[in-house]
Amino acid sequence: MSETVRELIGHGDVRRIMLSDKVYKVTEASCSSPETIIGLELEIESWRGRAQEFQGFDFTEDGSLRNMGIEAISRPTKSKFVENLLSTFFKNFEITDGNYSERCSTHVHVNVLDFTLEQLASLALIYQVTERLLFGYVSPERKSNIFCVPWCQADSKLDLVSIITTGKWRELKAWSKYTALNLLAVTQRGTVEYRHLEGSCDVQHIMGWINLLGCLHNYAKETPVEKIKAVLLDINTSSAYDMFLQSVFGKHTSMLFTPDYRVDLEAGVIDAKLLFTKGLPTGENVLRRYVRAMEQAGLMPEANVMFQAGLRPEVVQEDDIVDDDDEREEEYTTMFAPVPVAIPTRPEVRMTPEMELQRDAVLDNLANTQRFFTPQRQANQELNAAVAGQPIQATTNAPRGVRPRNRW
Amino acid sequence: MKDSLTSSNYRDFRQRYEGVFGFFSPEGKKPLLVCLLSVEETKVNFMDVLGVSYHVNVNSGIPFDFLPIERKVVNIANDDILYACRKPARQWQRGVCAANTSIVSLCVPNRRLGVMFNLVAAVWNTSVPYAIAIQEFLAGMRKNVALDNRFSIIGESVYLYNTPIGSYESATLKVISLFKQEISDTIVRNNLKFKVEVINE
Repeated sequence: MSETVRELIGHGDVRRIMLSDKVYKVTEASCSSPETIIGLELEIESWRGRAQEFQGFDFTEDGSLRNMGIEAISRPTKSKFVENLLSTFFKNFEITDGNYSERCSTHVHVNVLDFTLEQLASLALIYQVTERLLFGYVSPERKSNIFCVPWCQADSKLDLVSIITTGKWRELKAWSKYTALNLLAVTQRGTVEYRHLEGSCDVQHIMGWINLLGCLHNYAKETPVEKIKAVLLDINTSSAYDMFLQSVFGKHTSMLFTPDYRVDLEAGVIDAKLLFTKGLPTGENVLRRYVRAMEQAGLMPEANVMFQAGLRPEVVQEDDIVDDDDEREEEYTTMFAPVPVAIPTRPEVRMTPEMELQRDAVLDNLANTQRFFTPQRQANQELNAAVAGQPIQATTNAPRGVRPRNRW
Repeated sequence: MKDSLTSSNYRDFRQRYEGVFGFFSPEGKKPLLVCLLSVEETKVNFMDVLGVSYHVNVNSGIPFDFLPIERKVVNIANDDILYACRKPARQWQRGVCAANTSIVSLCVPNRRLGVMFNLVAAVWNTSVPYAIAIQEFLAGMRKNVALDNRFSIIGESVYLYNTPIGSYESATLKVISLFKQEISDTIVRNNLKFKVEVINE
């Protein structure tokens, strides 16, 4: 439980690839979590600049964009440098609102290499509670975007809290990349990826988003899962919801206020509680116990109760989350791989004199036939000999008009 | 997201929307749930849930509205409960289709339903309203009922979306303690006389 993500995934030190602290000025005053290491993926269209490394950015093509769209990927950097980094970038390449369409988005990777699994579970829980509010901060269309599906709208087959806290974190490899908070990145890069934010060159808007994420991470790092669970169980009044929000987001809370923020928070609490339901005695478990007791007593339980207790459970949706075609192809390849078959060995045959004569005749016939193919064979021999550094011998049985060629 | 067929976006439009469900929403008229059957360079062919065919010409400017479904449970007429949610996956298609939407029956174990027009229509707007379904349940005309868009009673079990959270027997709901507050709120909102108890965990 106390192992960090870095120890689990065997990732190296992120500081080796980080942007130097000397490149950009610090804007610490407005940062909720100035030392948090983040990376940005900026999707931009109508790109006029030259794709080259620019003060800590790498550029790559993105197939989902149009009109000379590119994706600018920042090197990992501390939050306190991001404002200056973005301002310089947008100014240098003269990026305006015209460079963005509904296809563009801004993804923020936040480092969790130093998180323990329990802290990661806390982050998942607190994110689930506040997800609807976070979507309130970004453009309304993002909620219906197919590449940024909210957790609260999808049906995860993964029991997240138990996976993380019981150390079965490898199951996160089955996570779908196209969820709003992408946990697949934990196993790949030691980060969590927030895909909510629309494409924007408004530095204050992006910094506001980064500050909200910083608050989430600070709270998750300081608060154990059991404490969050206790808070979720107690929270049932309007003032309690407000206090809870204040405790997570502090002075940045006001950025999340919408007319329905309490309704959203209430719904988020229910969604978060769902993450705890695995293994608890539910109605079906109770029914199963009842059926078992009836059977032990030699009585026949009612058919409808058996049906209810038997196989009613949550609906299995096997391929809901899998989005990696390669993995599936591999699975199919394994499935349809040829079954190894034992080849029977040929029994030894004792040659009679007649058979030997017959064999010699066949071999002579074969030798005559091969004469016609000799030039090619000879050429191959020459080639092999030349490669091996041996002298080339002239052929004697080449057909007329065909001479061995000395290639070397 | 609203989008319409133009001369310049024909290929994109076809790739994204052919075969999906969306709303035909001419200005000033009630949006109509439709299935886009085919997209040609000159027109979009589509039909409504009754099977009536329509087409709209290129550059007409009349938009389709492509909205994802909300995660919820709904009552349908044959005493079944449908559970619908979104599927995150790599895809080109927008609008409601099998690549991004899942609709399952909660009353038949492990039964996966396709994303068919009548089911999509049921999830969007033709489901039995919760209040009516509850009255039918109380009158014994239904054995399964969705109380709101989250909670449902299916036979002797209580569900939150597709997760069993307790049991139901003779007007008493026994649920795990996590959801006592929420299920009590739902009972009160629906003016039901059910008792809510907590299962010993």
